[in-house]
Amino acid sequence: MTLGDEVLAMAMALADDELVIGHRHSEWLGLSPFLEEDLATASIAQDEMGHARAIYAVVWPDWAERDALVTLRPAADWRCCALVEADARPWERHLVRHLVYDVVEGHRWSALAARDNPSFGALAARAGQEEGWHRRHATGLTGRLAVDHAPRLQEQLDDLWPMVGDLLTGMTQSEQNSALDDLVATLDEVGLVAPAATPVPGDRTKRSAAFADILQSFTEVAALDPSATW
Amino acid sequence: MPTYEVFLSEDGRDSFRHAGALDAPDEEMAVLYARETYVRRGEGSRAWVVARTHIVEVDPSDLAVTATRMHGRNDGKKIAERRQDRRAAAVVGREVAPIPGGNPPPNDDGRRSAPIYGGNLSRDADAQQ
Repeated sequence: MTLGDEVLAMAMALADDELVIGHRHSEWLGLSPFLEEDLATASIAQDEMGHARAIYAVVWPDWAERDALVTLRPAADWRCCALVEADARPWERHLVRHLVYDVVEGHRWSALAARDNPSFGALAARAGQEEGWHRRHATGLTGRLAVDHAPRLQEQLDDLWPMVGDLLTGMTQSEQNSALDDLVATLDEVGLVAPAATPVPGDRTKRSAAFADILQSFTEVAALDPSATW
Repeated sequence: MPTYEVFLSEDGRDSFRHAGALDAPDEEMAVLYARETYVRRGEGSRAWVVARTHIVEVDPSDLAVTATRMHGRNDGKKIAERRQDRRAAAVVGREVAPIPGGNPPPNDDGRRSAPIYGGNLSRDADAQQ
């Protein structure tokens, strides 16, 4: 498959984001405030990693290459963003990130599907169904917690906000506008206030400090024997 | 958080079966968690989520008296035992073990047909009067 540079960059940014936020979700397994939330988080983690895998499979149909893409790729070649890389603690920080990420994610899939590539169109339709569910989970939980704890959630939102712009990578200006309008309206619905600064896409070629731990975690088994076949 | 009971039906003909319980802040979240907790792999095509406070429980003491009315209750165990005995008897050609209420008379060809109901025959006779 040949992909234009722009589409490839968009797809890889989304795939890497999905894999890394899936990993971050999975880190909360067993640590969520209650059992049902543990299960939901684990399920969302699997969905997000599945989305990453599906995009990688379009870009790299060869299985061994795809495996190497995760286990052997040097940090400089990853295209995930600081928002997903962040080790978001305490839990409400992770929750706010989950909300912001999943609201924009639906728009990212739509934008990718609009780039006139049939493979991504089909993927977007499937992923969109799951994303709707993730979004309901994030808005439902945040909205209820905001009734009593809005300041704690707002504090995390304000702090994460400068990293939100990277989610808009590859979108046209009008796509960015509609994603941000939706995000601002959704935050308002759950009782939070979007900070005034307008997020703008940043540079995805630099990894944040938090990424080293993630890469180590992704590669620690493969690094034991890089020549092993699985 | 309130507790909700989850019931699943696998297809339209199935009756709903109790799948388990979960805690959720409200109905809307209970619906979300019901899927994540009990329907991850197509375990049902329909689900009911019922607040536990909406369940009306029958007082167990009202049920206890029925525990002594075991007549007419058939779990199939006795019939299965008898069938096994008859199979074994057929192999070695011995007479079958007697059953309460008496064995049915042999058929014309000398074989015995197993009674459908092997329990208290006199009770049936009473019921017919």
